[in-house]
Amino acid sequence: MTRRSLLQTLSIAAAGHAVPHASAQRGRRRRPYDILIKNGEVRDPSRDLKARADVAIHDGKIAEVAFDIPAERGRDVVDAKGLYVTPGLVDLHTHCVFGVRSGIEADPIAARSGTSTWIDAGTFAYNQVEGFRRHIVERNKCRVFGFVYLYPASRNPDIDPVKYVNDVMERTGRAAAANRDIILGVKFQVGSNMNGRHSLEFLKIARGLCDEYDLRLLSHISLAPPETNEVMELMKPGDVITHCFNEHTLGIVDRDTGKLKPSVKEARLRGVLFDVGHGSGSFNFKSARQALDQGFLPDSISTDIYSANVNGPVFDLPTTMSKLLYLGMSFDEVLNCSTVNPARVVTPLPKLGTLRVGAPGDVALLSVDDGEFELVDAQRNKVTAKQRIVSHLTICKGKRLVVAV
Amino acid sequence: MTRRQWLQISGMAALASAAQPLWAQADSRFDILIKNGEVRDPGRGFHRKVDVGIKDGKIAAIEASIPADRGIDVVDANGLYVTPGLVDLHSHVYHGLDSNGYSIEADPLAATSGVTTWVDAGSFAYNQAGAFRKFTVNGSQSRIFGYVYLYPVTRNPDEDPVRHVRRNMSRTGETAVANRDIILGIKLQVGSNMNGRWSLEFLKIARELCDTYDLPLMAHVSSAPPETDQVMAYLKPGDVLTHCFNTHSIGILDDTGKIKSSVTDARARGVLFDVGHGAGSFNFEIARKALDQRFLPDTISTDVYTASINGPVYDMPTTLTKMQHLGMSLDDILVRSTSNPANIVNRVPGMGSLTVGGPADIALLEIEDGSFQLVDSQRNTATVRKRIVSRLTICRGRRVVAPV
Repeated sequence: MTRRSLLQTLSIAAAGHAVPHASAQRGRRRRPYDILIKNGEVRDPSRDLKARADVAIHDGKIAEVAFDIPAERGRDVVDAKGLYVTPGLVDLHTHCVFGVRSGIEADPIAARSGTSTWIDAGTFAYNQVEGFRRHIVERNKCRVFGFVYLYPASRNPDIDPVKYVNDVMERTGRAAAANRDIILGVKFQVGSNMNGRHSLEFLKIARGLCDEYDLRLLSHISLAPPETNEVMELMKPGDVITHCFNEHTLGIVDRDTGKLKPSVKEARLRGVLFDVGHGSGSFNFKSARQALDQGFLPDSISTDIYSANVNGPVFDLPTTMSKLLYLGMSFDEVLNCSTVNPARVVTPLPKLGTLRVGAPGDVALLSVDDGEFELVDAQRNKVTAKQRIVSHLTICKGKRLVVAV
Repeated sequence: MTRRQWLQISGMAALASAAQPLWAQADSRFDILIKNGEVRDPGRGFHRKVDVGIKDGKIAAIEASIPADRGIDVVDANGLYVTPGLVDLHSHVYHGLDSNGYSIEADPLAATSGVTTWVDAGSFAYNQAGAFRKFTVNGSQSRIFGYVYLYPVTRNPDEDPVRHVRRNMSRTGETAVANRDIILGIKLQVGSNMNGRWSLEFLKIARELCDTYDLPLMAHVSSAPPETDQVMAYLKPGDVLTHCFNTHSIGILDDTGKIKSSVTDARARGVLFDVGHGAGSFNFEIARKALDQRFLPDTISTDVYTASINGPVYDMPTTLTKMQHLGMSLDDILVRSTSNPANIVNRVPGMGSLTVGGPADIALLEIEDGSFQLVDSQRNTATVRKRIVSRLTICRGRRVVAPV
């Protein structure tokens, strides 16, 4: 957003005109909207919009957001009474290359979870980009993007690891650059449990690659070595650290003092982004609470969903969001971290994550249900929450997502 | 359809059949009728000038002079051999998501090469079998099967190799068993150039796995260590050794050019020997020496993949032509590229042969005259006067066409 458009937006909002009356546009169009969502509570954190308003979707885009759009102007009229109407959820960390490694199928879960955009966090390497596009991106009804893994996995245990990774760098960079419409950057798993003694060396190679090809780096963190500060030093503005609320040795909180590590605070100040990436092992209630207590909210809430955690502890994005809600984040903060914030890394689609007119026609209908709900973190710690976030409808590219029977 | 509607329809059909047979009401013509060709099915010793009618994915008639008006799509095969669709026992067709980056797309090559059945030789591991089925097997016009690789690739260079492979054994075996309709067995590349010092250890694990789950093993051979004798000792009847005519240090010939006795023994007990041409594994001289000792391969296959498809392999007919150049007869070649590999696949009754009621997988081949250069994996060249080319591929009763 330019300074000028920001000022315009602010002045409109200040004047109370963010949501016009439908009457202002009445009579201007004849064809009914593809979908008209009526009577919902619109929540669009991208512009601090909270209002009871109707949302019309046409030709795959948000066509109108206004008070009282007449029902006859929609072909498919959705009654969203009692529901929040939000931008379609964006899951920054998923594994949705079905049938490869632990990848799951995105569409069925998208349909029940409000998650209209899935970002695969490096299930594939440069030599699988073609299949990722053809079999995953183009086949799914939800939107799929991906970070390409730094290097392809190998069959030969006797290769020289550093030479091997160095040798494939150019191909990884070229594949990412040639597919910028779907590839958002490079993924790398930093941790001695992931790549032994070579993590720091590989991370340096990743840094060089991302600088050379102007790519965003998505770094998983788990077990030291390397140490947190060594990792932070190599992260630049716009890069993403995922698994920020893990309880591992390579984490953001000092395990002895419970304080945020200085290198982490400093990284955030210069624009490094911190993502939840729940996963099977990387979300811990205590770690998250320690960070939140120090005012360290995540930039994005994501699931790291894959076959080993889709049936718990992750389940889906609304469940992960509910955990952050339980830990004290407000619904609006949670929504911010699961719509407009993660959408910022989806550079090919600038208006994603908002409900502005002209934005992609991606909408979630959510509710915050009251009751008693058990939530489980990656270490199997259980809590009972009084509220949970539930999805009632996912609309993506202007169409309802439905689970294929 | 309600029960009532169904009864009405079947009642009508019963009435109608009194007047004329049911087939006469629908279009009773063959979907495809191949006329004037020379049917050549050496697997069952059949060699005759007859026409072939195809309907509903199956061969419906093999008869002399079927009238042309009995076919919807009539193919004139004058001057062509009508053979069972070719079966390529060693290919890499897990296109798109192959973590090795080897694989090519099957259908475009099937359309131009007469190959109706592809066996992927381990481009995928157990943790990719889901994608192999969904995107490759289900997404192709041609038939696709596969050997699953012994272990998945790893991102962690510091993982203990033997531990990694052992850790994945049961998942590999269970995946193979759960997918027996498309997975034929286990593939392992044996050679120090493929898995360093670990080849023999991995081969032992593969043997153990195959015995536990009752699966055949397909073993690639390239550079020693291990030695040929050590490899042969681990192969059982029904196992396939591929790259049999390579020029590498794990090979079937000894220093004097004689077939190694461990190889003769292995063949005698039922181990199968496959060509698997590939970018590096087919050598004219080796093949000629083996053939001179009457050591014919059990199967002729391409090992077609990204690094071999634009030469020296190109396609199955080119590999068949090389065997013809080395002196094998057309029937010997066809048996080894149709019924023999089809018997190893052993998943589709009648596949690899042309029989009424069997699957309509057919290749129309031509022996073309001219001057053609052939190249082996070591870039040795030979000029031949005849080559085998494919004119049409029919799989499951339909023409295989290259996707646009």
